[in-house]
Amino acid sequence: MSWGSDWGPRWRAVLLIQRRDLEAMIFGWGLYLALALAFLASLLILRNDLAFVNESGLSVFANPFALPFFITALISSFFLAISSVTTIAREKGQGTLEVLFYGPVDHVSYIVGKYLAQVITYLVMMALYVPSFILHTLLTNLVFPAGLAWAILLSVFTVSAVVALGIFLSTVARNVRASLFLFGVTTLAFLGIQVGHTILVTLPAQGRYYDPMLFLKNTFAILNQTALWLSPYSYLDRGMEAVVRGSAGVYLALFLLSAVYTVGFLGLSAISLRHRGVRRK
Amino acid sequence: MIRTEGLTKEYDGFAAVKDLNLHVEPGEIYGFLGPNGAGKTTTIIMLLGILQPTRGCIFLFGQALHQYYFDIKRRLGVVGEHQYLYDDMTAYEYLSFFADLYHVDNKAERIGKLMEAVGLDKYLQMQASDYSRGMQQKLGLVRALLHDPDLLILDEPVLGLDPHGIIEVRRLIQEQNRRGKTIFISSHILSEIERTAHRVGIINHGVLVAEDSITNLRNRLRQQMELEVEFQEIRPGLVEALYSLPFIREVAAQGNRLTIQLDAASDGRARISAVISAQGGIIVDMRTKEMSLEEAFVTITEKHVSLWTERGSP
Repeated sequence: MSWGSDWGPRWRAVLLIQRRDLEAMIFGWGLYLALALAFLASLLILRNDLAFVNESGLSVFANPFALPFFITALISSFFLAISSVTTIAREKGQGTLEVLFYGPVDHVSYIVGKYLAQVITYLVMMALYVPSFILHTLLTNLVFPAGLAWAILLSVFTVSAVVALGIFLSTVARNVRASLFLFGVTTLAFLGIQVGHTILVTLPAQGRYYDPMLFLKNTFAILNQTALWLSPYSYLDRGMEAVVRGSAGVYLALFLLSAVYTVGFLGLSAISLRHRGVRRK
Repeated sequence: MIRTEGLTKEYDGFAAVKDLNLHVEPGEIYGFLGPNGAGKTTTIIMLLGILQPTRGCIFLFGQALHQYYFDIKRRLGVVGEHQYLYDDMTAYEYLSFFADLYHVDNKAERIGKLMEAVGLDKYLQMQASDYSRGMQQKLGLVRALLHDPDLLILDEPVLGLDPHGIIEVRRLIQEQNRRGKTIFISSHILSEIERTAHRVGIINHGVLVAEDSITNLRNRLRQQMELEVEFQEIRPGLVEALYSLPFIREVAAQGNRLTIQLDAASDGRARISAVISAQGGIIVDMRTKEMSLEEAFVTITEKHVSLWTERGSP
């Protein structure tokens, strides 16, 4: 493909695919359900914190918006992950993907268009969350920490990584049900490793080299370390921690990692889509 | 306009399309025929760049498809066998989306004009997915024509249409061809191909077994000619007199009508007329029975099957 002269039409296709998906998202109910859940969760956390301050007369929160924001970003990214996981599989199942490829659309423009729609949706969600956080600072006299702005910025990249993973799973699956199953298994695997590791760490081991518990602990430790790199959710978690601790190096590394993760999975998605085809099975 | 060189698609060792060399000239209507599973759709989706060939090259407008993908796609209009529509869009929104994709100027005007041509202008604001099968087929054709493409690739364009719809679509295809557009049609409705196509290509078991004009195909296949002659009455001795002609193979009588089989190489109609007159017969009607495209298709594909079996390998 002559890449140089192709960027004009490719970009046109990207914008159109992105616009169509964004419109579908804005006129759908899923976005508003995710927004409502995120608002509710963050409000509950803030309300509990304020109740604690009211009861104890002490404010010991260095960053009172850290957890509400983390939950908000987590719910948003989970919604976008499900949305991206189903998007390509649904379009392929309906046959509309094939019709789209009759025209000047290629695998790269299609994947990038899908990705942009999800990321812009996240920006729209943030555009609604941030004023609400500011409003809460005004109502509660809690300080809006500067670190939160950095966390919001990083979250765009970590959510991008979640979306890229979702899109990749969508290109691999045969239909919507299979893609949701794949996503569920992947998420549960990441969670299972994390929870398993946390539980096993607390259990005692006899320390002998043939102790099965020690073997299990070591295995889960390795799996957990791997999951920390593979799970895009852990990027947000670690990013929030880096913001709270003020560790700029980790923060920048996570920025870079999220970007590499995103580009990597988008590339794999384009290859997978090309390999598996765009036709309805 | 379309040229493929050694185009091959293999699935786990099975060749769906084998060493296909297609040549479609600019400005012609080319009928692409073949039985079910012959490799027609595989060929078409490879021509569209949707499926990667295992081997071989595709050139459209003289350019290699893999090199000039977007340039080629912008000049291509495609109607697939099924019109998959977005269920949340009206017909206008659907067409508008594709008009934007192809960067069509004055899209509202263009959409209105084309929808009027297929008699769907009243249903522009209707949900596209609520259209009947025939309406969806026409909508697909309108989508394919939005950007005034130089080459139209149509897979079963009249499938599901009523006779009026078929006439409308045929008229539209012929009008596009008159305007210099090249049209590549794959269809099972052979009578439709016979009416519109200048040349046909027949594919069987993934191999292009014939490619020529319909007339040439008929001539190549025709080993004997069939003549139907209607009389006022068949005079005694006429059949025997006809058998005296060296090129006559068979004469069958039915009522006042004779069906005469004769060698294709010699057009003996004048001599037959002379024999009939000499026997005092009065001819009411005489016509040569032409081989239909359907008969040619069956002959070619069956011939290929037998060759294929004799060789013992695909």
